Amino acid sequence: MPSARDPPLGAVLLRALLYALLITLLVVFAPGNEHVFIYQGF
Amino acid sequence: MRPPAPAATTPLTWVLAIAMLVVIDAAVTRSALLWGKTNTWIQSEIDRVYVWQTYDVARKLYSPRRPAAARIAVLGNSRIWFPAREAYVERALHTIAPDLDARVDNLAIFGARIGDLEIVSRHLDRLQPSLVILALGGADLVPTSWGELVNPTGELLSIGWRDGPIPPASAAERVDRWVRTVWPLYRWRRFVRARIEDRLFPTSSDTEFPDHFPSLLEYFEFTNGRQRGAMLDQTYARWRREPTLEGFVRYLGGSEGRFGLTEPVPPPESLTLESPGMIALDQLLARLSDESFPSIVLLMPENPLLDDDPTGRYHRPGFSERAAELIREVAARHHIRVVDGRRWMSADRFADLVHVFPDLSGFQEPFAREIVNALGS
Repeated sequence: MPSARDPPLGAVLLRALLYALLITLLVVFAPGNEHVFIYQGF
Repeated sequence: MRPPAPAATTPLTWVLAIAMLVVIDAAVTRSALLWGKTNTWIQSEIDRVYVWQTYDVARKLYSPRRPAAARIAVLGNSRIWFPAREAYVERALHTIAPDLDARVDNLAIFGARIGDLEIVSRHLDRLQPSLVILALGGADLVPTSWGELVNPTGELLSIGWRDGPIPPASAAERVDRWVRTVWPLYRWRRFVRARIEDRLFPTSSDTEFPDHFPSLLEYFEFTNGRQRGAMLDQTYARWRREPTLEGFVRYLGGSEGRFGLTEPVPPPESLTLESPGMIALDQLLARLSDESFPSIVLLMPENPLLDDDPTGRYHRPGFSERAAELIREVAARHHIRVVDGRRWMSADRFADLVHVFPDLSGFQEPFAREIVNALGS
């Protein structure tokens, strides 16, 4: 049963969505492990 | 009365965030959002060429394809990328076996070597292939100044809990591979980035590789542009009138005696069963055998003009034979047949000293015959 101390469901959902989007952006755009392609053939 | 706990710190927020992350991950990595690009013949920036070519292989592995009774997976590099395009081989298969419902997945990447091919083979269970063809040249088994045994293209696809035959250079690379193994969004993040960039700033010259070339002129124009293509068509025709090795080198624009027109491989005797490339081949074939995928190794065509180079001005005499001998020995351990295609093509079927012409060379015909032969056995 939700109690008066629980945060509003809307706020929880919004915050969860924000976290999920932030993690997604971090994973996709975080620098590191950049592969550099060097090919000296013709 | 105390105020409610903040949403930021309640465990429910994190549980929901993880659930949403899974949904977002699936929405991106299992849909056209990621896998929708098909014009992956790139004519600008080598970096884009490799990213989109590797993407193309990943797309064939992870995006749903047309179902077919016979699924033929082809591993290799540019030597097989050009002449075994899906459309050419499927047409040739239809001609010789009209009732065969076959789908060809060409999983080749330019510059790929045995370490890269071993990495691609880790994904083959996605296709459940009826036949795997490992298209090899001797040079693919050794690192040279043209590339390593594992290249950045292969690294983009590297997954698995255990180290492969070519160990990672650092602990960070190993952890990177583990995360790539469990988390699809992380695995494809380079492609997601490229896809976003492509949507925001599309490159107008990106196109699809043709399903058919009516003439050499059209091939030259497609790969080199109209002006240079027309010139190459003429210089190639000049070589046809005087079909010598030196004439071919002139057509390629190389200087006489320049050893860089074929891959600068080491002396033949340096290649042994203990060489890292041979160990990688052994592990690749062991995987195919363990997973019970019917498989053959195809030794790729070599330009017979190099027979006129016994002193090794343009290539390393004896290396191909040495590599073939060792490949046969390793393949025999796993009861995998080796098809020797080194003499399949005459010199006039080659675009250079290494690659046969796509479609126009007719490579797809003996290739399709081998497929039918292997599927029937």
